[in-house]
Amino acid sequence: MSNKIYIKMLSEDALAYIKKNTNTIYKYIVENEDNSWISELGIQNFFVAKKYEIEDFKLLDNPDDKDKSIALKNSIDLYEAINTLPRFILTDEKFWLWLYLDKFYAEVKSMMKIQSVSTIKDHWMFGQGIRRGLFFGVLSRCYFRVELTIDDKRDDKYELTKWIIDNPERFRNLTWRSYSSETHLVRGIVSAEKRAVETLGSEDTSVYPEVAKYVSSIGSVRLLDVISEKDIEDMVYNWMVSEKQGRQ
Amino acid sequence: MQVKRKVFPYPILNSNVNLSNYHTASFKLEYTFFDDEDNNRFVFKDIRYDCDSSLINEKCDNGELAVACIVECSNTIFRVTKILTRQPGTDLVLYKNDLSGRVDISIFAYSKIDTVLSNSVEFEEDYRGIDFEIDQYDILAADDGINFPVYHEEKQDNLAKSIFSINPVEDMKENNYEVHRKLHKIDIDMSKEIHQLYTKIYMSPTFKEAFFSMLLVPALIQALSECKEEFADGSDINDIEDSYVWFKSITLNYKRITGKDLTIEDFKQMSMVQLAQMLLGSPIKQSFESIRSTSYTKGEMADEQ
Repeated sequence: MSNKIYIKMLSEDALAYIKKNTNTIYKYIVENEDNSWISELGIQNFFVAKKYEIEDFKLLDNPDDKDKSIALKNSIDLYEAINTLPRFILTDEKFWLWLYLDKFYAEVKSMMKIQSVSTIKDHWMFGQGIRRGLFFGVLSRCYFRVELTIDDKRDDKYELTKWIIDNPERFRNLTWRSYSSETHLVRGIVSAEKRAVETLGSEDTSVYPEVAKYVSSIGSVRLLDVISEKDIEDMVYNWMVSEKQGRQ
Repeated sequence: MQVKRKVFPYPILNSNVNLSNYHTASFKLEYTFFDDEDNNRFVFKDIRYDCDSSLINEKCDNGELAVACIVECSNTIFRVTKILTRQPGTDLVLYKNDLSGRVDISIFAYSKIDTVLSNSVEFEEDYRGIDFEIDQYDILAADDGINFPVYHEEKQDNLAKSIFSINPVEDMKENNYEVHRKLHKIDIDMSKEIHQLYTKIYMSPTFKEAFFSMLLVPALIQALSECKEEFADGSDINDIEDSYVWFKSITLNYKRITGKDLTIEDFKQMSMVQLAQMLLGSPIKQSFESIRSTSYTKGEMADEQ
C-alpha cells in the first residue's frame, strides 16, 4: 500500500537563524537525543510542507557509517525515494536540513560523530558553498553517489555505486571538479578506475587525486563534455596503467 | 563552462575580439528567447551558431568540426550538451525545475578527429606560417555566451514577510541592530535579548505600525540606499532584481501602490526615505497615534488643547 508524504523544507527564517546561531544549534544537537528543542526556539514555521510528494521511507542505523552494505542500501533507498523531486529542491540546503533536523535526526547523528561545530557547518549545512555542501553532506553525498554512478547498461545498475561506497576515495576527488556534473564522464572515469584496479590486481588510493587532475588536464584545451563515456574510460584506464608502470 | 582568458597552443576564434587569434572573423551564439511560463520552462528557439570564418565553416561542413552548446547550472549539478548547426530549426528547452542560481550557456567548435589546422590568412600575424597539430576534441572556436539567474520564490502577499528576516544572533550583545542585504532577504540582526522583546510585541495590533516605524522603515531605507549607490552607473531595474531577489517584491509592490513600473531613473531620483515609508504603508502617523492612545490610558499625556 502506497504511503506518500509531503516533503518539507526549512523556512527562510529558520535557515537564517541556523546560520547566525550555529554554535547554539551545535550544542542543542549534541545534548539532545531528539529534536524537540526546535519547538523551543520560538521560530514560527521552522519546517514548511511543500506540494511535492514522495513515498515514505526509512534508513537503517549505521553507526559511523561503518557497515558498507548498510551504507549502500541506505544510499539506494534514499535515491529511489527522492530522485523524482525537482533538481532545485534536491540541491537546496533547506531540503537536506529538514532531513537532518527532522526526518532522520537520529540516524544522521549516528552516521557521523559530531566532533565540533565544523561537523554541523560542513556536513549538515552548506558551510563551504553549495557544491561542497552537497558532496560533503551526511545524506546528500549518499544521494549523489548513486545519481552520478547508476548505470542501466550493467546487469546490476548499482555496480559502480557499490564500488565507490566501498572506498569513497575512488569518487571523492572527482566531485570538486565542475566536469563531475556530467554523469557520462563520471561513469566513464569510475569504470576506468575499477577496470584498472581489477587488471592491475592492486589499488593505491593515492592515485585517485591524480586521476581527477589528469581529467582536468585533458579538459584544458579539449571539450570534455563531448568526449564519449567509452573514450574517457579508455583514456583514464590507459593513463592509470602507464602511471602504475611508471611508478614501478 | 567558459574559456574566458584561457590561452591555447594554437589559434582560437573567440567571440571576444580581444581574446581571438583570428584577424577579423566572428563566432557567436544566436537564438530567440521565450519564457514559457505556462510550462515552467525557458525556450531558446532556433538556437544556432553564426560564423563568418571560411576556415571554420568549411571544416564544420565537411564533418571535421562540430559545434556544441554547453548549458551549466553549477548550483543544481546540471550540465547538458546540444549539437548546433548554422541553420534555424533547433530549439533548446530548459526546465526551470532543473535550475537554481546562475545558468551559463556557451558554445564551442571542437575537432571530431585528429587533424591539422593549416596556415591561414585568417590567423593573426603571430600564428601565420605555422601548421598546428589538433587532437580530437580540441576546442577551435568559443563564445562564452550568456548567463542568467533563476530563482524559485514562493509569492508572499505581505511585503514585510517577503523581504525581511529578523534574527537573533549569538554573541551579539549590543543594544543596536544591524542591517545586511542578502540575496533572498534583508537581514535585521539583533541580540537574543532584544529578539525576545521583539517576538512579544510584533504580533500586537496596537504596536504593529510602531514596530514598522522603528525597525523596518530604517532597515529598508538603508538597504534601498545601498542599492542606489551600488547600481549608480549604467544599470537598470532588472540588474538590481537579478542581484537581490527581494528587490522583485519592491518593484511589484511599487506597481501595486502607484499603478506604474519602477524605472531606474525614478529609483535614482526619488528619496529612499519616502520610498521606504510608502512601501511599508506610511506607518508613522498610526504608530504615533497608537503610542498616544496608550499614553492617555496610562495618564501620562496631557489632554489636547
